[in-house]
Amino acid sequence: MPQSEPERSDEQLLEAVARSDLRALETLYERYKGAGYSLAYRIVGERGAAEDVLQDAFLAVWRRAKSFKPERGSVRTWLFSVIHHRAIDRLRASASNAAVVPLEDLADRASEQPAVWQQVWRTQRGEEVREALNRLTPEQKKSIELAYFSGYTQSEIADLMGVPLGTVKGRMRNGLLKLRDWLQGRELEASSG
Amino acid sequence: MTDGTHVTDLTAAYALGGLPPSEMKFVESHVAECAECRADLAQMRGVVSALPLACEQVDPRGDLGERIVRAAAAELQARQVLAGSSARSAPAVARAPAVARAPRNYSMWFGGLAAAAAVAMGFVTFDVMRQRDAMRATVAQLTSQVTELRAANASLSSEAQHQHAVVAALAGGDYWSFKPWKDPNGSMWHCAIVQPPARGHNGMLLASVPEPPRGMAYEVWLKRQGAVHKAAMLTHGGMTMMDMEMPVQRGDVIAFSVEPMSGSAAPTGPVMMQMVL
Repeated sequence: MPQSEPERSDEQLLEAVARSDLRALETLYERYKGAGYSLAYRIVGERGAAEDVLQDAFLAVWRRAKSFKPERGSVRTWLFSVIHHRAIDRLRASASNAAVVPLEDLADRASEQPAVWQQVWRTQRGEEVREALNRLTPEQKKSIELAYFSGYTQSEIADLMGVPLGTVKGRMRNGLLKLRDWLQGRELEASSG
Repeated sequence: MTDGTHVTDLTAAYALGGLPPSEMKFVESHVAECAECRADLAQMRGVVSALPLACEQVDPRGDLGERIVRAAAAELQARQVLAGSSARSAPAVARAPAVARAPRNYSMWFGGLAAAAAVAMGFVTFDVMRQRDAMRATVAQLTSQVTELRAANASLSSEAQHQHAVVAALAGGDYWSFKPWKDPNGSMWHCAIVQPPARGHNGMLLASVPEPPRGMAYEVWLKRQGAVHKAAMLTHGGMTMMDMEMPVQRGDVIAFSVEPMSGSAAPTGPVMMQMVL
């Protein structure tokens, strides 16, 4: 008896997508549309652009599902990585035509965006990750946010924050290790990739 | 550490997308050989994959998923056509689900026109050097038939000019015919290129093609001396006679690819067919 869509694992769905199974693609989309769209929207800050990013990302998954390598991480990790890269590309492309924003404002962007970090989180998962992020030092959290959500390189972050490159490297690594420790043993156990 | 042995001081930045391309490649080449750093990077990527969950939860519009599936279905259909055109003798590829198939909604008029086009294009594939006279007569006859068919549609009056131009071109111009083939849906493809002798006249495309995937078009490209030029756009199936965007000459490469209806600056979709003139 065939498995119903909700019972198929991410890996099974991606294998089916690699065999050009449109229903599997649709199920994968339904499973990750919320988190994926939220990530895209968090980075590009505009609904239409975030939808473009999500569409581009899922079509890339559709085309490249066969290239997925399980040994490099989970399907979730890969999918978010694809969405993230496309969103950052979009952000950088639009930034090249945008007015210059003071660096201080960019650095504090997370706290200035409407309701970001302040809103009530809809899911337990969100609460857990937010709680973990808030346990980081402000410098660690800012370094991670600037890299992941705003697309800055570690060298640019060092310039922005006025600290040596090695300091930024340390903040990123130690910050992620703290997150891992906090999340391990929970549903979001980091080691699961 | 990046001490020639390990790159663990770069794995966090890599996972966060915080490295320039040159350093990303450096990390990638290293982890391909180093199991310890590979495991470290996988761990960092696992942590980073939790970050999207911390974003403000915003839902996309309800029809986005449908749009994505529709676009994927269109790509699948294009791939199937490509597979059929590039290897007609190869085993058939898996057919797209029902959602992937564009409805074949030809009108009687259009079907008649397509049939006429198929005959016309098939004829062009003959040894035209030896049968030029016969071809002229046939083209003239077909031109007349097409003109009659299209007389019912006033908006197509400009096509008559193309018919005359084709006949004029055949009186002294160059032409090249594509070998006709059948795609997996059983649709025939016929194409020919005509270069009229008149100075400054662009090449002309004569084609009878199946419907492109829904929401897509066939874009025709001309490659000359390594440069790729936009040559024409076929937004629908059936018979088409149209001016190309530049004159053609021996040695040019003509290629068809599936592109968005708005066209592309360069080929991005599957190449359906290409041929050297």
